[in-house]
Amino acid sequence: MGQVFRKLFDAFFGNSEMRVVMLGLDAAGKTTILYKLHIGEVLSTVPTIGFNVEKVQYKNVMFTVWDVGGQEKLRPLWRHYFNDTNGLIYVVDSLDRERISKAKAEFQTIINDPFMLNCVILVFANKQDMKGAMTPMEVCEGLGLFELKNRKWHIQGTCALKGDGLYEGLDWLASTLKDMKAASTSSF
Amino acid sequence: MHAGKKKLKDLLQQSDNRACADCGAHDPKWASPTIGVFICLKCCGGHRLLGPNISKVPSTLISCNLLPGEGISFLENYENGHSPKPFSNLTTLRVLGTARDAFGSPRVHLRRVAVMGYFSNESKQQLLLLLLLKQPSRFDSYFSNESKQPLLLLFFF
Repeated sequence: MGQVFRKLFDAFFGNSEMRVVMLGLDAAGKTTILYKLHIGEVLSTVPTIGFNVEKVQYKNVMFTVWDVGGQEKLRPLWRHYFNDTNGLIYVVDSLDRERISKAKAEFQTIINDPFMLNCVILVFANKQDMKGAMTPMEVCEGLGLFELKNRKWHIQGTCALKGDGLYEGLDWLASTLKDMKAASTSSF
Repeated sequence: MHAGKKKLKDLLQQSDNRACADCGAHDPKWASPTIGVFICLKCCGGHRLLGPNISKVPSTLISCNLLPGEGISFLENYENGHSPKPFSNLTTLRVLGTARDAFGSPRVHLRRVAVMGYFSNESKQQLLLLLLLKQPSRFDSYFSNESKQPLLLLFFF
């Protein structure tokens, strides 16, 4: 009963929830981003074995962010997190030019999964503070984002240590989610 | 592939490699082929903060990219006992990692200063030099910060 009232209340005041899964190659900065968003601090992280999940409130959207380990042998497990997911945050290490093709291959596998066909795609080109980092434009080309058809995507240059760009990214996610909800209710 | 796995196993069993190069924990399961050491999960964090251009840390168990090719042969040349250039001693590397951590966000700064207290004066000087040479821009943002915390760090040197 309480749940019902809460849902009514949320619907009335425009609060909404969004389930987001954050993926990317190992050492891209996923866990650092998650905790920067959650507690606003930079934690010294260790490689994630398994996953971290935290709730992040931004404006009137409650994001449930799943951060899954990106080590090579953990990647086949990613697809178990795809079900019922509204958004994908794909984190790329802009400094790692050698592995951008690897990042592209993994990215294409994720977005072509049947469960992910309806999700919105936010790409974080992380580590923009470092010298010699690829620009968001280069990352865009590296991942083949321009060839995407009928998908909502956005790329954002970020620096997780300073927190630059993270909230701009969430802003885009929140507004896109709102648009999509509006579109789906008007079609009924 | 199979030969690579065996080679890696042999390397891990050498007595030099049975302890983490940074903290000395038993049986490290992670490696940095770029620096040529085996380290433990906890010390991975510091290495990863340095960025992939300085140290990459694949796991010996769950990363396939360590197995074939150059990574292995590099590790073979430099085992934990004798670490190669450009970091002639590992303390410097560790301090540098800690520092990037600290310089990244002013909020964690004070906690980190406490940690820095454990390092010798020599390695602190090296760190200051390295940071000034390699990332002067980090200092700019640090000094222009409105809080007075940054200056505290310099008093420690």
